[in-house]
Amino acid sequence: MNSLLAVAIFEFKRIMTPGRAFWWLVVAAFPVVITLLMSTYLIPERRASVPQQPESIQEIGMMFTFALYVLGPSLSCMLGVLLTSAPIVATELEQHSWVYLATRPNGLFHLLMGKYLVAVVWTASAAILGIALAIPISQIHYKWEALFALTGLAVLSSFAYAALYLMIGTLFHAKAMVFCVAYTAAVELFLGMFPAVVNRMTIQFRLRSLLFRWITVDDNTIPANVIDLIASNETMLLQLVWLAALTAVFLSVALVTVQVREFTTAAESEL
Amino acid sequence: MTSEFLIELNQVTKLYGTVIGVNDFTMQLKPGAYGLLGPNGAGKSTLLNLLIGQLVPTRGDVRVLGQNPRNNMQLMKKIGFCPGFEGLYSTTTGLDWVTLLLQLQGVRSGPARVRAIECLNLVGMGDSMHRPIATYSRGMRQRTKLAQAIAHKPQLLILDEPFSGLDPVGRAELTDVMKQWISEGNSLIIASHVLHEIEALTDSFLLICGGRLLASGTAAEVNELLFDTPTEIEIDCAQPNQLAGLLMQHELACSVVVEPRTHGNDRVRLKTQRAGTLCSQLPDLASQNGLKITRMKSADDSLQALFNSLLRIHRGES
Repeated sequence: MNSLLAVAIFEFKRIMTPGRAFWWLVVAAFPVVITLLMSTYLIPERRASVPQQPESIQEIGMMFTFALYVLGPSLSCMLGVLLTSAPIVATELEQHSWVYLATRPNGLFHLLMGKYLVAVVWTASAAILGIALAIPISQIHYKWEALFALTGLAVLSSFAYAALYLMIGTLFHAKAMVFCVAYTAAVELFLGMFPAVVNRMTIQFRLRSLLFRWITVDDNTIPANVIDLIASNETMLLQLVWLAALTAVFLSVALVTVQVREFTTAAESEL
Repeated sequence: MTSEFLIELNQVTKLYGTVIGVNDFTMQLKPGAYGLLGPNGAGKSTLLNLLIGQLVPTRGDVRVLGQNPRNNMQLMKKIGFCPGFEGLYSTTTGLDWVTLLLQLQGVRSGPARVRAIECLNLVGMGDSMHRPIATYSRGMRQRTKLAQAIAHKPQLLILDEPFSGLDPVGRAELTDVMKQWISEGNSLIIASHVLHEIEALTDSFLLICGGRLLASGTAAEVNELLFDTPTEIEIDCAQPNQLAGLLMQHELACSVVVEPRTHGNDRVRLKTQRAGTLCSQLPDLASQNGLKITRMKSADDSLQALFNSLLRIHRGES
Protein backbone atom coordinates (compact mmCIF):
# COMPACT_ATOMS: atom_id res chain seq x y z
CA MET A 1 0.00 0.00 0.00
CA ASN A 2 2.92 2.27 0.84
CA SER A 3 4.43 1.64 -2.59
CA LEU A 4 1.13 2.17 -4.39
CA LEU A 5 0.60 5.45 -2.57
CA ALA A 6 4.18 6.47 -3.31
CA VAL A 7 3.69 5.96 -7.06
CA ALA A 8 0.32 7.77 -7.00
CA ILE A 9 1.74 10.79 -5.11
CA PHE A 10 4.81 10.85 -7.33
CA GLU A 11 2.65 10.77 -10.46
CA PHE A 12 0.36 13.50 -9.16
CA LYS A 13 3.41 15.70 -8.67
CA ARG A 14 4.62 14.87 -12.18
CA ILE A 15 1.33 15.72 -13.89
CA MET A 16 1.21 19.17 -12.29
CA THR A 17 2.62 20.77 -15.40
CA PRO A 18 1.18 23.58 -17.55
CA GLY A 19 0.71 21.18 -20.46
CA ARG A 20 -1.25 18.64 -18.45
CA ALA A 21 -3.24 21.44 -16.77
CA PHE A 22 -4.20 22.73 -20.21
CA TRP A 23 -5.52 19.33 -21.29
CA TRP A 24 -7.35 18.95 -18.00
CA LEU A 25 -9.10 22.25 -18.68
CA VAL A 26 -9.89 21.16 -22.26
CA VAL A 27 -11.56 17.99 -20.94
CA ALA A 28 -13.47 19.99 -18.32
CA ALA A 29 -14.45 22.74 -20.76
CA PHE A 30 -15.67 20.36 -23.48
CA PRO A 31 -19.19 19.67 -22.09
CA VAL A 32 -19.54 23.26 -20.89
CA VAL A 33 -18.84 24.78 -24.29
CA ILE A 34 -21.14 22.38 -26.15
CA THR A 35 -23.93 22.91 -23.62
CA LEU A 36 -23.50 26.65 -23.94
CA LEU A 37 -23.74 26.42 -27.72
CA MET A 38 -26.83 24.22 -27.48
CA SER A 39 -28.52 26.60 -25.05
CA THR A 40 -27.65 29.63 -27.12
CA TYR A 41 -28.36 28.42 -30.66
CA LEU A 42 -29.91 24.98 -30.98
CA ILE A 43 -32.89 25.19 -28.67
CA PRO A 44 -34.16 28.68 -29.66
CA GLU A 45 -33.66 27.73 -33.32
CA ARG A 46 -35.68 24.57 -32.89
CA ARG A 47 -38.38 26.42 -31.02
CA ALA A 48 -38.53 28.93 -33.87
CA SER A 49 -38.66 26.28 -36.60
CA VAL A 50 -41.55 24.37 -35.02
CA PRO A 51 -43.53 27.09 -33.27
CA GLN A 52 -46.74 25.11 -33.50
CA GLN A 53 -45.29 22.30 -31.37
CA PRO A 54 -43.19 23.88 -28.64
CA GLU A 55 -40.89 21.49 -26.85
CA SER A 56 -42.06 20.48 -23.47
CA ILE A 57 -39.78 21.35 -20.56
CA GLN A 58 -39.26 17.64 -19.92
CA GLU A 59 -38.35 16.84 -23.49
CA ILE A 60 -35.76 19.61 -23.66
CA GLY A 61 -34.47 18.66 -20.25
CA MET A 62 -34.12 15.04 -21.37
CA MET A 63 -32.31 16.15 -24.49
CA PHE A 64 -29.81 18.09 -22.41
CA THR A 65 -29.42 15.19 -19.98
CA PHE A 66 -28.54 12.79 -22.80
CA ALA A 67 -26.29 15.36 -24.42
CA LEU A 68 -24.44 15.83 -21.15
CA TYR A 69 -24.22 12.06 -20.68
CA VAL A 70 -22.58 11.79 -24.12
CA LEU A 71 -20.32 14.79 -23.48
CA GLY A 72 -19.38 14.00 -19.88
CA PRO A 73 -19.30 10.35 -18.79
CA SER A 74 -18.81 9.20 -22.38
CA LEU A 75 -16.61 11.49 -24.47
CA SER A 76 -14.84 13.55 -21.77
CA CYS A 77 -14.02 10.49 -19.73
CA MET A 78 -12.91 8.53 -22.79
CA LEU A 79 -10.71 11.41 -23.91
CA GLY A 80 -9.31 11.91 -20.43
CA VAL A 81 -8.28 8.31 -19.88
CA LEU A 82 -7.11 8.02 -23.47
CA LEU A 83 -4.58 10.75 -22.70
CA THR A 84 -3.57 9.41 -19.31
CA SER A 85 -4.14 5.67 -19.13
CA ALA A 86 -3.51 4.35 -22.63
CA PRO A 87 0.15 5.46 -22.90
CA ILE A 88 1.26 4.28 -19.44
CA VAL A 89 3.36 1.35 -20.65
CA ALA A 90 4.48 2.98 -23.91
CA THR A 91 5.74 6.10 -22.14
CA GLU A 92 7.78 4.15 -19.60
CA LEU A 93 9.29 1.98 -22.32
CA GLU A 94 10.06 4.88 -24.62
CA GLN A 95 11.84 6.87 -21.95
CA HIS A 96 13.61 3.72 -20.69
CA SER A 97 12.34 4.16 -17.14
CA TRP A 98 10.56 0.80 -17.20
CA VAL A 99 13.47 -1.27 -15.93
CA TYR A 100 13.93 0.79 -12.76
CA LEU A 101 10.38 -0.02 -11.72
CA ALA A 102 10.40 -3.55 -13.07
CA THR A 103 13.35 -4.45 -10.84
CA ARG A 104 11.49 -3.48 -7.68
CA PRO A 105 9.40 -6.00 -5.76
CA ASN A 106 5.93 -5.81 -7.35
CA GLY A 107 7.18 -2.67 -9.05
CA LEU A 108 5.11 -3.13 -12.19
CA PHE A 109 1.92 -3.77 -10.20
CA HIS A 110 2.49 -0.56 -8.25
CA LEU A 111 3.43 1.33 -11.39
CA LEU A 112 0.32 0.30 -13.29
CA MET A 113 -2.11 0.65 -10.40
CA GLY A 114 -0.59 3.92 -9.17
CA LYS A 115 -0.78 5.47 -12.62
CA TYR A 116 -4.24 3.99 -13.14
CA LEU A 117 -5.52 5.72 -10.01
CA VAL A 118 -3.96 9.00 -11.11
CA ALA A 119 -5.59 8.63 -14.54
CA VAL A 120 -8.98 7.98 -12.93
CA VAL A 121 -8.74 10.96 -10.56
CA TRP A 122 -7.39 13.25 -13.30
CA THR A 123 -10.19 12.30 -15.71
CA ALA A 124 -13.06 12.06 -13.25
CA SER A 125 -12.24 15.41 -11.67
CA ALA A 126 -12.18 17.14 -15.07
CA ALA A 127 -15.41 15.45 -16.16
CA ILE A 128 -17.19 16.22 -12.89
CA LEU A 129 -16.14 19.88 -13.06
CA GLY A 130 -17.38 20.03 -16.64
CA ILE A 131 -20.72 18.47 -15.72
CA ALA A 132 -21.10 20.68 -12.63
CA LEU A 133 -20.52 23.82 -14.72
CA ALA A 134 -22.64 22.65 -17.65
CA ILE A 135 -25.78 21.70 -15.73
CA PRO A 136 -26.62 25.24 -14.50
CA ILE A 137 -26.42 26.62 -18.04
CA SER A 138 -28.40 23.73 -19.49
CA GLN A 139 -32.17 23.53 -19.55
CA ILE A 140 -32.39 20.39 -17.47
CA HIS A 141 -35.42 20.47 -15.24
CA TYR A 142 -34.21 18.13 -12.46
CA LYS A 143 -30.78 19.64 -12.01
CA TRP A 144 -29.74 17.91 -8.77
CA GLU A 145 -30.93 14.53 -10.00
CA ALA A 146 -28.96 14.98 -13.22
CA LEU A 147 -25.90 16.21 -11.32
CA PHE A 148 -25.79 13.15 -9.07
CA ALA A 149 -26.50 10.75 -11.91
CA LEU A 150 -23.95 12.21 -14.30
CA THR A 151 -21.16 12.65 -11.73
CA GLY A 152 -21.70 9.09 -10.54
CA LEU A 153 -21.54 7.87 -14.13
CA ALA A 154 -18.40 9.97 -14.76
CA VAL A 155 -16.65 8.26 -11.85
CA LEU A 156 -17.72 4.78 -12.98
CA SER A 157 -16.85 5.59 -16.58
CA SER A 158 -13.37 6.81 -15.59
CA PHE A 159 -12.63 3.64 -13.65
CA ALA A 160 -13.92 1.35 -16.41
CA TYR A 161 -12.45 3.10 -19.44
CA ALA A 162 -9.11 3.70 -17.70
CA ALA A 163 -8.91 -0.05 -17.06
CA LEU A 164 -9.91 -0.84 -20.64
CA TYR A 165 -7.33 1.54 -22.13
CA LEU A 166 -4.67 0.38 -19.72
CA MET A 167 -5.26 -3.18 -20.91
CA ILE A 168 -5.12 -2.17 -24.58
CA GLY A 169 -2.05 -0.03 -23.89
CA THR A 170 -0.35 -3.00 -22.27
CA LEU A 171 -1.24 -5.46 -25.01
CA PHE A 172 -0.43 -3.10 -27.90
CA HIS A 173 1.91 -0.58 -26.35
CA ALA A 174 3.51 0.47 -29.62
CA LYS A 175 0.25 1.83 -31.02
CA ALA A 176 -1.82 2.12 -27.87
CA MET A 177 -3.79 5.24 -28.82
CA VAL A 178 -4.70 3.91 -32.26
CA PHE A 179 -5.96 0.62 -30.86
CA CYS A 180 -7.89 2.39 -28.10
CA VAL A 181 -9.66 4.69 -30.54
CA ALA A 182 -10.38 1.83 -32.95
CA TYR A 183 -11.72 -0.39 -30.17
CA THR A 184 -13.87 2.41 -28.77
CA ALA A 185 -15.36 3.23 -32.15
CA ALA A 186 -15.97 -0.37 -33.16
CA VAL A 187 -17.04 -1.94 -29.90
CA GLU A 188 -18.13 0.70 -27.43
CA LEU A 189 -19.83 3.12 -29.78
CA PHE A 190 -21.00 0.81 -32.60
CA LEU A 191 -21.61 -2.58 -31.00
CA GLY A 192 -22.65 -0.86 -27.77
CA MET A 193 -25.67 0.56 -29.59
CA PHE A 194 -26.47 -2.73 -31.29
CA PRO A 195 -29.65 -4.24 -29.86
CA ALA A 196 -28.15 -7.70 -29.37
CA VAL A 197 -26.47 -9.78 -26.68
CA VAL A 198 -23.05 -8.46 -27.67
CA ASN A 199 -23.81 -4.95 -26.45
CA ARG A 200 -24.20 -6.26 -22.91
CA MET A 201 -20.45 -6.76 -22.80
CA THR A 202 -19.76 -3.07 -23.32
CA ILE A 203 -19.18 -0.36 -20.76
CA GLN A 204 -21.46 1.99 -22.68
CA PHE A 205 -24.43 -0.32 -22.34
CA ARG A 206 -23.99 -0.57 -18.56
CA LEU A 207 -23.50 3.17 -18.11
CA ARG A 208 -26.56 3.89 -20.23
CA SER A 209 -28.60 1.40 -18.25
CA LEU A 210 -27.58 3.13 -15.03
CA LEU A 211 -28.47 6.51 -16.53
CA PHE A 212 -32.01 5.34 -17.17
CA ARG A 213 -32.19 4.02 -13.61
CA TRP A 214 -30.88 7.23 -12.05
CA ILE A 215 -32.89 9.87 -13.92
CA THR A 216 -36.59 10.36 -14.23
CA VAL A 217 -37.73 9.39 -17.72
CA ASP A 218 -41.12 10.45 -18.89
CA ASP A 219 -42.78 7.66 -20.84
CA ASN A 220 -44.08 10.17 -23.37
CA THR A 221 -40.55 11.43 -24.07
CA ILE A 222 -38.89 8.06 -24.55
CA PRO A 223 -41.16 5.03 -24.84
CA ALA A 224 -40.27 2.05 -22.68
CA ASN A 225 -39.81 -0.24 -25.69
CA VAL A 226 -37.10 2.08 -27.04
CA ILE A 227 -35.31 2.06 -23.70
CA ASP A 228 -35.45 -1.73 -23.70
CA LEU A 229 -33.50 -1.76 -26.97
CA ILE A 230 -30.65 0.47 -25.83
CA ALA A 231 -30.45 -0.29 -22.11
CA SER A 232 -31.02 -3.07 -19.65
CA ASN A 233 -33.87 -3.17 -17.18
CA GLU A 234 -31.84 -5.27 -14.74
CA THR A 235 -31.25 -3.93 -11.25
CA MET A 236 -28.80 -1.14 -10.46
CA LEU A 237 -26.71 -3.52 -8.36
CA LEU A 238 -26.33 -5.90 -11.28
CA GLN A 239 -25.22 -3.05 -13.55
CA LEU A 240 -22.62 -2.01 -10.97
CA VAL A 241 -21.43 -5.61 -10.62
CA TRP A 242 -21.09 -5.82 -14.41
CA LEU A 243 -19.02 -2.64 -14.51
CA ALA A 244 -16.87 -3.78 -11.61
CA ALA A 245 -16.35 -7.16 -13.25
CA LEU A 246 -15.37 -5.62 -16.59
CA THR A 247 -12.96 -3.26 -14.82
CA ALA A 248 -11.46 -6.11 -12.81
CA VAL A 249 -11.01 -8.26 -15.92
CA PHE A 250 -9.34 -5.44 -17.86
CA LEU A 251 -6.99 -4.66 -14.98
CA SER A 252 -6.17 -8.33 -14.43
CA VAL A 253 -5.29 -8.83 -18.09
CA ALA A 254 -3.03 -5.76 -17.96
CA LEU A 255 -1.31 -6.88 -14.76
CA VAL A 256 -0.81 -10.44 -15.96
CA THR A 257 0.52 -9.20 -19.29
CA VAL A 258 3.26 -7.08 -17.71
CA GLN A 259 4.29 -10.03 -15.55
CA VAL A 260 4.39 -12.51 -18.41
CA ARG A 261 5.70 -10.48 -21.33
CA GLU A 262 9.28 -9.34 -21.76
CA PHE A 263 9.33 -5.58 -21.94
CA THR A 264 12.95 -4.75 -22.36
CA THR A 265 15.05 -2.60 -24.62
CA ALA A 266 17.96 -5.01 -24.53
CA ALA A 267 17.02 -6.40 -27.91
CA GLU A 268 17.23 -2.97 -29.50
CA SER A 269 20.49 -1.99 -27.88
CA GLU A 270 22.16 -5.29 -28.52
CA LEU A 271 21.28 -5.97 -32.09
CA MET B 1 16.99 -21.42 -1.37
CA THR B 2 20.67 -20.70 -0.80
CA SER B 3 23.63 -21.37 -3.05
CA GLU B 4 27.36 -20.95 -2.76
CA PHE B 5 27.26 -19.33 -6.18
CA LEU B 6 26.43 -15.75 -6.93
CA ILE B 7 25.38 -16.59 -10.46
CA GLU B 8 24.78 -19.88 -12.25
CA LEU B 9 24.05 -20.02 -15.94
CA ASN B 10 23.44 -23.40 -17.40
CA GLN B 11 23.47 -23.61 -21.21
CA VAL B 12 21.58 -20.34 -21.45
CA THR B 13 20.54 -19.20 -24.90
CA LYS B 14 18.46 -16.14 -25.63
CA LEU B 15 17.00 -15.63 -29.06
CA TYR B 16 15.34 -12.50 -30.41
CA GLY B 17 13.38 -14.12 -33.18
CA THR B 18 16.10 -15.69 -35.27
CA VAL B 19 18.89 -13.51 -33.90
CA ILE B 20 20.99 -14.81 -31.05
CA GLY B 21 21.50 -12.51 -28.07
CA VAL B 22 23.25 -14.99 -25.80
CA ASN B 23 24.49 -18.29 -27.11
CA ASP B 24 24.85 -21.43 -24.98
CA PHE B 25 26.24 -19.59 -21.99
CA THR B 26 27.42 -21.71 -19.10
CA MET B 27 29.22 -20.32 -16.06
CA GLN B 28 29.27 -20.32 -12.30
CA LEU B 29 30.49 -17.33 -10.36
CA LYS B 30 31.18 -17.21 -6.66
CA PRO B 31 30.47 -13.98 -4.74
CA GLY B 32 32.94 -11.25 -5.69
CA ALA B 33 33.55 -8.52 -8.24
CA TYR B 34 33.53 -9.32 -11.94
CA GLY B 35 34.03 -7.28 -15.05
CA LEU B 36 31.91 -8.20 -18.03
CA LEU B 37 33.88 -7.14 -21.07
CA GLY B 38 32.76 -7.14 -24.64
CA PRO B 39 32.44 -4.87 -27.65
CA ASN B 40 29.16 -3.15 -28.42
CA GLY B 41 26.54 -5.71 -29.41
CA ALA B 42 28.41 -8.55 -27.70
CA GLY B 43 25.41 -9.56 -25.62
CA LYS B 44 26.32 -7.84 -22.36
CA SER B 45 22.99 -6.10 -21.88
CA THR B 46 21.09 -9.26 -22.79
CA LEU B 47 23.07 -11.18 -20.21
CA LEU B 48 22.43 -8.54 -17.55
CA ASN B 49 18.73 -8.50 -18.39
CA LEU B 50 18.65 -12.26 -17.97
CA LEU B 51 20.29 -11.86 -14.57
CA ILE B 52 17.74 -9.32 -13.35
CA GLY B 53 14.84 -11.37 -14.70
CA GLN B 54 13.73 -8.92 -17.35
CA LEU B 55 14.37 -11.50 -20.04
CA VAL B 56 13.51 -15.15 -19.96
CA PRO B 57 16.07 -17.51 -21.50
CA THR B 58 14.87 -19.25 -24.64
CA ARG B 59 16.80 -22.28 -23.43
CA GLY B 60 18.71 -23.08 -20.27
CA ASP B 61 18.50 -22.00 -16.68
CA VAL B 62 19.50 -18.80 -14.89
CA ARG B 63 20.06 -18.63 -11.12
CA VAL B 64 21.08 -15.58 -9.16
CA LEU B 65 21.89 -16.13 -5.48
CA GLY B 66 20.41 -19.58 -5.97
CA GLN B 67 17.07 -18.32 -7.24
CA ASN B 68 15.30 -17.86 -10.53
CA PRO B 69 15.31 -14.09 -11.07
CA ARG B 70 12.11 -13.87 -13.13
CA ASN B 71 9.37 -12.03 -11.18
CA ASN B 72 11.19 -12.89 -7.95
CA MET B 73 10.24 -10.29 -5.35
CA GLN B 74 12.64 -11.54 -2.70
CA LEU B 75 15.55 -11.49 -5.10
CA MET B 76 14.77 -7.98 -6.31
CA LYS B 77 15.49 -6.71 -2.82
CA LYS B 78 18.97 -8.20 -3.03
CA ILE B 79 19.90 -6.83 -6.45
CA GLY B 80 20.74 -3.27 -7.40
CA PHE B 81 20.67 -2.55 -11.11
CA CYS B 82 22.03 0.41 -13.02
CA PRO B 83 21.14 0.12 -16.73
CA GLY B 84 23.23 1.44 -19.59
CA PHE B 85 20.60 3.88 -20.82
CA GLU B 86 19.37 6.85 -18.81
CA GLY B 87 15.63 6.55 -18.38
CA LEU B 88 15.26 9.21 -15.73
CA TYR B 89 12.16 11.38 -15.39
CA SER B 90 13.32 14.80 -16.53
CA THR B 91 10.85 16.92 -14.58
CA THR B 92 11.39 15.33 -11.20
CA THR B 93 14.33 15.96 -8.86
CA GLY B 94 17.04 13.39 -8.26
CA LEU B 95 16.03 13.19 -4.63
CA ASP B 96 12.35 12.52 -5.38
CA TRP B 97 13.27 9.87 -7.90
CA VAL B 98 15.64 7.94 -5.67
CA THR B 99 13.13 8.26 -2.80
CA LEU B 100 10.35 6.79 -4.97
CA LEU B 101 12.49 3.84 -6.00
CA LEU B 102 13.38 3.19 -2.38
CA GLN B 103 9.71 3.32 -1.41
CA LEU B 104 9.08 0.72 -4.08
CA GLN B 105 11.53 -1.48 -2.18
CA GLY B 106 9.11 -1.25 0.74
CA VAL B 107 10.91 1.50 2.68
CA ARG B 108 8.54 4.01 4.29
CA SER B 109 8.47 7.60 3.07
CA GLY B 110 10.54 9.27 5.83
CA PRO B 111 13.38 6.74 6.07
CA ALA B 112 13.42 6.48 2.26
CA ARG B 113 14.09 10.19 1.94
CA VAL B 114 16.84 10.09 4.55
CA ARG B 115 18.54 7.15 2.85
CA ALA B 116 18.15 8.75 -0.59
CA ILE B 117 19.92 11.89 0.65
CA GLU B 118 22.66 9.72 2.14
CA CYS B 119 23.23 7.85 -1.14
CA LEU B 120 23.09 10.96 -3.31
CA ASN B 121 25.70 12.55 -1.05
CA LEU B 122 27.80 9.42 -1.36
CA VAL B 123 27.90 9.67 -5.17
CA GLY B 124 28.61 13.38 -5.09
CA MET B 125 25.14 14.64 -5.88
CA GLY B 126 24.52 16.38 -2.57
CA ASP B 127 24.43 19.87 -4.06
CA SER B 128 22.25 19.03 -7.04
CA MET B 129 19.73 16.55 -5.68
CA HIS B 130 16.96 19.16 -5.35
CA ARG B 131 17.24 20.23 -8.97
CA PRO B 132 15.11 18.73 -11.79
CA ILE B 133 16.92 15.90 -13.55
CA ALA B 134 16.52 17.76 -16.86
CA THR B 135 19.21 20.18 -15.65
CA TYR B 136 21.73 17.41 -14.89
CA SER B 137 24.78 16.69 -17.00
CA ARG B 138 25.36 13.16 -18.31
CA GLY B 139 27.77 12.46 -15.47
CA MET B 140 25.30 13.67 -12.85
CA ARG B 141 22.67 11.37 -14.27
CA GLN B 142 25.09 8.46 -14.08
CA ARG B 143 25.74 9.24 -10.42
CA THR B 144 22.01 9.49 -9.71
CA LYS B 145 21.49 6.12 -11.38
CA LEU B 146 24.19 4.62 -9.21
CA ALA B 147 22.57 6.13 -6.10
CA GLN B 148 19.26 4.39 -6.83
CA ALA B 149 21.07 1.11 -7.41
CA ILE B 150 22.86 1.08 -4.05
CA ALA B 151 20.17 2.83 -1.98
CA HIS B 152 18.41 -0.32 -0.79
CA LYS B 153 21.73 -1.93 0.20
CA PRO B 154 21.62 -4.88 -2.20
CA GLN B 155 23.96 -7.85 -1.98
CA LEU B 156 24.68 -7.78 -5.68
CA LEU B 157 25.18 -4.65 -7.73
CA ILE B 158 24.84 -4.97 -11.50
CA LEU B 159 26.12 -2.00 -13.48
CA ASP B 160 25.87 -1.58 -17.23
CA GLU B 161 28.43 0.93 -18.56
CA PRO B 162 28.38 3.05 -15.38
CA PHE B 163 31.28 5.29 -16.44
CA SER B 164 29.68 6.36 -19.68
CA GLY B 165 29.64 10.15 -19.89
CA LEU B 166 31.73 10.73 -16.80
CA ASP B 167 34.75 13.02 -16.79
CA PRO B 168 38.05 11.65 -15.38
CA VAL B 169 37.37 13.14 -11.95
CA GLY B 170 33.89 11.65 -11.93
CA ARG B 171 35.28 8.27 -12.96
CA ALA B 172 37.80 8.34 -10.16
CA GLU B 173 35.16 9.29 -7.61
CA LEU B 174 32.76 6.63 -8.78
CA THR B 175 35.55 4.07 -8.85
CA ASP B 176 36.25 4.89 -5.20
CA VAL B 177 32.57 4.41 -4.33
CA MET B 178 32.58 1.01 -6.00
CA LYS B 179 35.87 -0.03 -4.44
CA GLN B 180 34.36 0.82 -1.07
CA TRP B 181 31.31 -1.22 -2.05
CA ILE B 182 33.44 -4.25 -2.92
CA SER B 183 35.59 -3.89 0.20
CA GLU B 184 32.45 -4.20 2.32
CA GLY B 185 32.04 -7.74 1.03
CA ASN B 186 29.37 -7.02 -1.56
CA SER B 187 29.29 -8.48 -5.02
CA LEU B 188 29.55 -6.52 -8.21
CA ILE B 189 29.10 -7.22 -11.89
CA ILE B 190 30.15 -4.36 -14.07
CA ALA B 191 29.73 -4.40 -17.83
CA SER B 192 31.86 -2.25 -20.07
CA HIS B 193 33.56 -2.21 -23.44
CA VAL B 194 36.52 -0.28 -22.01
CA LEU B 195 39.09 -2.53 -20.37
CA HIS B 196 40.82 -0.02 -18.11
CA GLU B 197 37.51 1.04 -16.53
CA ILE B 198 37.11 -2.46 -15.17
CA GLU B 199 40.77 -3.07 -14.40
CA ALA B 200 40.60 -0.36 -11.73
CA LEU B 201 37.92 -2.31 -9.88
CA THR B 202 38.58 -5.98 -10.35
CA ASP B 203 40.96 -8.37 -12.03
CA SER B 204 38.28 -10.99 -12.66
CA PHE B 205 37.05 -10.71 -16.20
CA LEU B 206 34.38 -12.36 -18.26
CA LEU B 207 34.98 -11.73 -21.92
CA ILE B 208 32.00 -12.11 -24.19
CA CYS B 209 31.49 -11.56 -27.87
CA GLY B 210 28.77 -12.62 -30.26
CA GLY B 211 26.71 -13.77 -27.30
CA ARG B 212 29.37 -16.30 -26.25
CA LEU B 213 31.60 -16.48 -23.24
CA LEU B 214 35.03 -16.40 -24.83
CA ALA B 215 37.24 -16.39 -21.78
CA SER B 216 37.16 -15.78 -18.08
CA GLY B 217 39.75 -15.28 -15.40
CA THR B 218 42.24 -12.68 -14.29
CA ALA B 219 44.02 -10.24 -16.59
CA ALA B 220 47.17 -12.39 -16.38
CA GLU B 221 45.23 -15.50 -17.37
CA VAL B 222 43.68 -13.76 -20.33
CA ASN B 223 47.06 -12.41 -21.43
CA GLU B 224 48.51 -15.90 -21.19
CA LEU B 225 45.71 -17.18 -23.35
CA LEU B 226 46.50 -14.55 -25.94
CA PHE B 227 50.26 -15.10 -25.86
CA ASP B 228 50.38 -17.14 -29.05
CA THR B 229 47.22 -16.03 -30.77
CA PRO B 230 47.29 -14.76 -34.37
CA THR B 231 48.09 -11.11 -34.31
CA GLU B 232 49.31 -8.24 -36.45
CA ILE B 233 52.44 -6.36 -35.43
CA GLU B 234 54.12 -3.18 -36.67
CA ILE B 235 57.90 -2.76 -36.37
CA ASP B 236 59.71 0.44 -37.37
CA CYS B 237 63.22 -0.51 -38.44
CA ALA B 238 66.21 1.14 -40.16
CA GLN B 239 66.76 -2.06 -42.21
CA PRO B 240 63.19 -3.12 -43.02
CA ASN B 241 63.92 -5.41 -45.95
CA GLN B 242 66.58 -7.31 -43.98
CA LEU B 243 64.22 -7.66 -41.02
CA ALA B 244 61.41 -8.90 -43.27
CA GLY B 245 63.69 -11.51 -44.77
CA LEU B 246 64.86 -12.73 -41.38
CA LEU B 247 61.31 -12.99 -40.05
CA MET B 248 60.26 -15.14 -42.99
CA GLN B 249 63.44 -17.19 -42.82
CA HIS B 250 62.89 -18.01 -39.15
CA GLU B 251 59.19 -18.64 -39.77
CA LEU B 252 58.24 -15.98 -37.26
CA ALA B 253 55.74 -14.34 -39.62
CA CYS B 254 53.12 -15.66 -42.04
CA SER B 255 53.14 -12.49 -44.14
CA VAL B 256 55.26 -9.37 -44.21
CA VAL B 257 54.70 -5.99 -45.88
CA VAL B 258 57.26 -3.16 -45.89
CA GLU B 259 55.63 0.27 -45.80
CA PRO B 260 57.86 3.22 -46.75
CA ARG B 261 57.39 6.29 -44.53
CA THR B 262 58.34 9.88 -45.24
CA HIS B 263 59.44 10.51 -41.67
CA GLY B 264 61.44 8.09 -39.55
CA ASN B 265 62.24 4.49 -40.32
CA ASP B 266 60.20 2.41 -42.73
CA ARG B 267 57.59 0.15 -41.20
CA VAL B 268 57.36 -3.62 -41.35
CA ARG B 269 53.81 -4.81 -40.94
CA LEU B 270 53.62 -8.52 -40.25
CA LYS B 271 51.11 -11.16 -39.35
CA THR B 272 52.16 -13.91 -37.02
CA GLN B 273 50.68 -16.87 -35.25
CA ARG B 274 53.66 -17.01 -32.89
CA ALA B 275 53.56 -13.61 -31.25
CA GLY B 276 55.07 -14.91 -28.03
CA THR B 277 57.98 -16.59 -29.79
CA LEU B 278 58.53 -13.52 -31.96
CA CYS B 279 58.72 -11.25 -28.93
CA SER B 280 61.22 -13.49 -27.18
CA GLN B 281 63.47 -14.05 -30.27
CA LEU B 282 63.39 -10.57 -31.80
CA PRO B 283 66.00 -8.92 -29.48
CA ASP B 284 68.58 -11.63 -30.27
CA LEU B 285 67.75 -11.48 -33.96
CA ALA B 286 68.22 -7.71 -33.98
CA SER B 287 71.49 -7.70 -32.06
CA GLN B 288 73.04 -10.56 -34.11
CA ASN B 289 72.22 -8.86 -37.42
CA GLY B 290 72.82 -5.26 -36.39
CA LEU B 291 69.19 -4.23 -36.92
CA LYS B 292 68.06 -0.92 -35.46
CA ILE B 293 64.46 -1.22 -34.24
CA THR B 294 62.91 2.07 -33.09
CA ARG B 295 59.32 1.08 -32.43
CA MET B 296 57.21 -2.04 -32.09
CA LYS B 297 53.53 -2.31 -31.38
CA SER B 298 50.52 -4.44 -32.01
CA ALA B 299 48.69 -3.10 -35.04
CA ASP B 300 45.33 -4.18 -33.73
CA ASP B 301 45.43 -3.47 -30.03
CA SER B 302 41.79 -2.48 -29.78
CA LEU B 303 39.46 -4.47 -27.64
CA GLN B 304 37.64 -5.65 -30.75
CA ALA B 305 40.90 -7.20 -32.00
CA LEU B 306 41.32 -8.96 -28.70
CA PHE B 307 37.83 -10.35 -29.02
CA ASN B 308 38.39 -11.34 -32.62
CA SER B 309 41.40 -13.34 -31.50
CA LEU B 310 39.43 -14.97 -28.71
CA LEU B 311 36.60 -15.72 -31.07
CA ARG B 312 39.03 -17.48 -33.40
CA ILE B 313 40.34 -19.55 -30.48
CA HIS B 314 36.79 -20.31 -29.47
CA ARG B 315 36.04 -21.58 -32.97
CA GLY B 316 39.23 -23.60 -33.01
CA GLU B 317 40.69 -21.52 -35.85
CA SER B 318 43.96 -20.52 -34.20
